[in-house]
Amino acid sequence: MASTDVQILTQNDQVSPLDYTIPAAQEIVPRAIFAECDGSGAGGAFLPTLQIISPSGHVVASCPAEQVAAGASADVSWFPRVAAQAKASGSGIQFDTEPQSGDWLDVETTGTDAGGFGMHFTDSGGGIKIEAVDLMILEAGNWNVVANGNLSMQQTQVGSDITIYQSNGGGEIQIFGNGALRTDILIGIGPDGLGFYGIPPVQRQAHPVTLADVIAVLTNLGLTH
Amino acid sequence: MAAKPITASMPQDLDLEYNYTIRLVALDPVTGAEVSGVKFTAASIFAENRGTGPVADLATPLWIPLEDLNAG
Repeated sequence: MASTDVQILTQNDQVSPLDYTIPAAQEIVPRAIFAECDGSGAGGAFLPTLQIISPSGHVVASCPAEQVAAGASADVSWFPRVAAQAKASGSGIQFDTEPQSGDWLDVETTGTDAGGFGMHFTDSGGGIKIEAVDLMILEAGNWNVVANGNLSMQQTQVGSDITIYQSNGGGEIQIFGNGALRTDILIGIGPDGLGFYGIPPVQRQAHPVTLADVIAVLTNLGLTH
Repeated sequence: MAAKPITASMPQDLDLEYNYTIRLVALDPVTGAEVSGVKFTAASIFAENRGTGPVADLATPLWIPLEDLNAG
């Protein structure tokens, strides 16, 4: 039986898929396969994949390479005995690639890092942005929000509210200020006035409302001790 | 244009006979569906030839044998 090494080349560029069918009376054992993958016209991120198809049309082996981003290109070499790369399957969390899309993402950790956190996200660049089209819930045993700069919360939807609600007894809602300007806590009141549950609204005044004004209203309503 | 070099694994001692097909295809990482618009260029197969027929007897004109490296 003959046993020689051969190299077989493509004559033309070929849009995926590119097939080479073993001709009659031939029998080869591939040792290495190479291709330049031009993704400049790709419809999305892709895995350059080598497949072996049996004469009956069934896939015998499927060998994906590392993911290539849409619009990017890669020179891919397939060899036996190359350790599978972590990114080869296209699953899991990957870095420096986009978009990574799917139906859902469910992440759970059961241990802690050196800082005592089960999950620790650190961005040393521009910041972290989390967006949700619908509801977003951040639920924790204790929740601390620390801003080294300004801390702001804005509600932009007409007719929607911002609610701070302490729903169980034994706790309080506390607001402390330590302002360097005229006021420690500044509350801007719109045209509908300032309201308290259980008592009539305090109408907008021509002059700034002082704490004495509020106490006087509450006293008149018999709500002070 | 510079392209990112990637190495990937393939089965060893894969003895392919008549009518087996070696296919290069671009697949979606999530769905596995074929991704359109990817072009393969300069593809080459380096292989051990165990066949009895001439290597040049290729079924598809897209591919050409470069040389029998051990011939002669």
